Amino acid sequence: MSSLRRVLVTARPLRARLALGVLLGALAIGAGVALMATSGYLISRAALRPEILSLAVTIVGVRFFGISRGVFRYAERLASHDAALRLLARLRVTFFTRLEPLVPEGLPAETRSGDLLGRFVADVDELQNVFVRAVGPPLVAVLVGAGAVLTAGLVDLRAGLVLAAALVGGGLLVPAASAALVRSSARREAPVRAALLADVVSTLDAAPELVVFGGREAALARIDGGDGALTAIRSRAALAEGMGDGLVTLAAGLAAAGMLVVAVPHVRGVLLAMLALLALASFEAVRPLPAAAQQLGAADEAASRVYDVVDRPAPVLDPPTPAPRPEGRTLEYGGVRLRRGVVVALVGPSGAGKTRLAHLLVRFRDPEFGAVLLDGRDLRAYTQADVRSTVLLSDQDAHLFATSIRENLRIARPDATDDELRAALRRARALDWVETLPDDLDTHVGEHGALVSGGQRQRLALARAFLSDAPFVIFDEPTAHLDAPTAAEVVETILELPREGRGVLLISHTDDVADAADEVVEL
Amino acid sequence: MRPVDPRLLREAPAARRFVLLAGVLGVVGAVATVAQAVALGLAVDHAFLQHRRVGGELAVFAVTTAVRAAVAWLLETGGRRTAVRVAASLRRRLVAHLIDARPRDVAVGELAAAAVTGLDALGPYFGKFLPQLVLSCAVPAIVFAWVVWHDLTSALVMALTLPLIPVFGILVGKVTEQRTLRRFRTLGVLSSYFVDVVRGLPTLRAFNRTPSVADVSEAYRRETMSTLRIGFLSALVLELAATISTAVIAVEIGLRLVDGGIALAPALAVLVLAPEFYGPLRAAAAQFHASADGLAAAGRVFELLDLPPAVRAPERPLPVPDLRRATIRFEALGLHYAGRDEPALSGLDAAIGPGERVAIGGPSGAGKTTLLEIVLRLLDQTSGRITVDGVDLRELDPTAWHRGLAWLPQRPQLPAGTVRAALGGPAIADERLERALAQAGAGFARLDDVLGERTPLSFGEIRRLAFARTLARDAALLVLDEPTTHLDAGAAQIVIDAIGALPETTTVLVATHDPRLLAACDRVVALAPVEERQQA
Repeated sequence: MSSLRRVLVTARPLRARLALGVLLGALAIGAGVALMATSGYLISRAALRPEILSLAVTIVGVRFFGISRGVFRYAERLASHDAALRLLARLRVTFFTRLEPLVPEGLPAETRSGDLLGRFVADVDELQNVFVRAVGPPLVAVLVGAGAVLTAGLVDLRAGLVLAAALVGGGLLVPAASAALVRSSARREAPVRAALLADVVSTLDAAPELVVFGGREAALARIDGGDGALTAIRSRAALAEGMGDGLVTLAAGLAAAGMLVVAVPHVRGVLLAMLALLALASFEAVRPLPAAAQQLGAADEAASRVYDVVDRPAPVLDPPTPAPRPEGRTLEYGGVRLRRGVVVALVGPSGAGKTRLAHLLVRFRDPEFGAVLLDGRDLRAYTQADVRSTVLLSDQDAHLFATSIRENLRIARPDATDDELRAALRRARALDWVETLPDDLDTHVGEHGALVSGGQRQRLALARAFLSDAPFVIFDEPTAHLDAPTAAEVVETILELPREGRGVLLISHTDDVADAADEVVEL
Repeated sequence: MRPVDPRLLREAPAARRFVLLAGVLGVVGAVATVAQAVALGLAVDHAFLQHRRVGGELAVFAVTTAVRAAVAWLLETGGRRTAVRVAASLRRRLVAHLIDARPRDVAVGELAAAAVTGLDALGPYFGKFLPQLVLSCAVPAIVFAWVVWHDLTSALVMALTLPLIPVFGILVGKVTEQRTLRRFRTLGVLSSYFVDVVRGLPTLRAFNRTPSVADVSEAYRRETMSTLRIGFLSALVLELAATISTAVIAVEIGLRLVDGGIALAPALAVLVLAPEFYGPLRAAAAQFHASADGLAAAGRVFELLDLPPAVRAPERPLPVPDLRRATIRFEALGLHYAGRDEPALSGLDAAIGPGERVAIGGPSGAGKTTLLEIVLRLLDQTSGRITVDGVDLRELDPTAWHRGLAWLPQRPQLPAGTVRAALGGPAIADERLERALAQAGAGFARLDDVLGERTPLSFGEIRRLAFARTLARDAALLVLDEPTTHLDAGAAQIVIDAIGALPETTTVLVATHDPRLLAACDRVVALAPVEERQQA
């Protein structure tokens, strides 16, 4: 649980809000317990047929608890969700701030793929529920349990002890046991599920070939096999998942019966009903605990996955006394020498380290030998911000954010006017297309730019490059996913940049960009 | 939204059996609940007012408690086991169906998610929601019956208040629905923002931009809270109705006890039963999300099961003519995907004689792969037809048609297992498989190798193995889709040589724009690019 503890440290500034949620939760359940206990007392008193007036206070108590429970619960829900969302905001900011310097070179290669970053986001989101579902309920149970045991103990010490024992059994042992069983089956389940998912994916991927070549039955049999193994594991896990509710019910009943057994000889009869109902009702606080314990394990795993990512060292750091901002006259590394107004093509087969070189030139990482020289000075002498406003990397994937075309372009220059945006689009040969769109610059590009084609995506990336005033621009495989005519057009557009006095490095795995370049470097 | 999907019960026998079992268990649990309350009432009454030993009453109380615990355990365990079985049977049907339906507009990842992770939501649905739903029917009914029998006044309070819960729930729901819907759209945008920003981090870093995660998270919190303030109102109504009614019953019973209108034992039993009367309904409402998620997962599977197959099967399949003698004709063949502006293929006329090596040329996007897929019976054209010796291809027995041909897709997928199995063995003799491996330049593989066991295969290796699979079938018609792209000159030459070495009667249909391969073919059928088609 050590990773989870670190999350809770992050939550420390929110502790007053979190405590308020716990307190209101305890009051809500406490009101329910008090409602039953007071009602039991009221009825027992009434059975002795006293003056009705003497019952007045108890009746008021019953009514008060009856109304307050719902109100407390409503307030608790709002308070604890508000705290959880504030916690989420803190976690996002904290983890994002630590993730940022790691991207892209500080992460293991496979984490750079979108899936694992998606997982990272899901894990951070999962942690917001830690408090509402896993940490809050045990604290509420402790408060309510202590109150109930104290009340019972004041009536009769033995009854209090019986209740305490049953609450510990139902609230501690049962959740611990069920969580341990569920976790151990989850460990066995994970590889089986992963294999099943992989089988389903490869079967669906191969569907046309299964139809043409046959083999459909064999593929389905593999899935059946995986499902058989999964069913066996899940059936055993179901026993553990189902036991929580049942055992808590049993503990509640045994507590009530046990308290009556020890209390009957010693306690005034008028209090017996109160004791029994107090016991039955107080287990409402214990009921969510088995699920909470299971959640706690899942949350800890999510937290340790998140820390695994953000605990990595940053691949580059700013120097303590940075050199003044470079003008951007020359950029050199190895065989590459980039000047303004010149296009250098860098070609080589995939896997030769072209993207790595691009990352060196914008200082996403540092070279193991030698140095990248910007205006004759080691890149490490400048701040990263100065390097990247001098050397712009236009990524292979050219991420488009799920917002309007305008906002996507303004990433290159936040204060750009619409006229400037249109000028950049025109030079990127995208203006005609944008003007046919229903909302013009306000058109939403969809998640991951799903609503625009590969060619349009590269043109928008080009427009960003035109908007930025970085003297050097590096294009990493700008034509990778484009068909031949579109690719030729994109390269032609890129050649506009050197005409306005900027230096361009064009990276490609094919040599068809070589003709366009002033200089060709092979890796 | 309905709490139970009739189609789920109809199509999953395990689900039907569980609902029956849950009904029986629910009644047993409800009877035990009443018996437990009565035993407690009697125990307190006898100990308090009659000063008797109450061992017998407490024993009954303990036994009924144990029965309730067992019912709870059995319901959840049974429900979760049912969920696993239902998921497995739906998954198998779904995958079998999708092999034939092959929807083009849904990514495989999304389909697989619907078939595997999506169906996980059935666990809480069967394990938590359905049992709670059964209990919320059985327990109030049986408790109410007992209370009517023993205390008509309290029964009246219950009968008047219980309907308030759904009525107020629906009223609050109606009032809030519009506002919630509107907010949900904003929330969707805000909640996907963080994913988007994290995925786009390399781009943001390249441009020196730092997004305002804090501001957006704060906006997200404010939006969510204003949704929740209203959303939680319906829970508040449920809660208030239940606890206030319990309080009303307690006071009303107390007053009648003073008058002697009711005895202590039934009075206590009624008091214990009052929260049990409202409890299951509240618990079922609390599991609403489990129900919504589970039904949505099942609904998504049913939606996919309703997709039509990608090609229509002939009603009376005709035998396939001998491909070594038959001529294949394209007659005004065209295909227009639904929802696209331009047809993928239009008005193609061509004939391919037996033993001809025909290249399909044209720029990317001109419909080469589409044409091959129609020939392979993986797609149905939307206009014109293909004839084989004068018979419409769509009337031929599809299985027999597939048996007579071999195919090399652009991105081949080899099944997991041995190389022998992937190439079509043991139905095809080992010698022939080995010859095919050699011809395809896949000499690196042994027949007993298990694919990808030691090191994952490279794309080029998979291509060569898939080409070996194509050659091993000794088919009369070879359909090859860009067999030389991404290959270096040497590897491309191996493919061209292998095509040259085919028996003369073998017909080859190959989509390519590789000049070396075009030169090796008898003839080129050029498909016009989309723009020219528009002009024409």
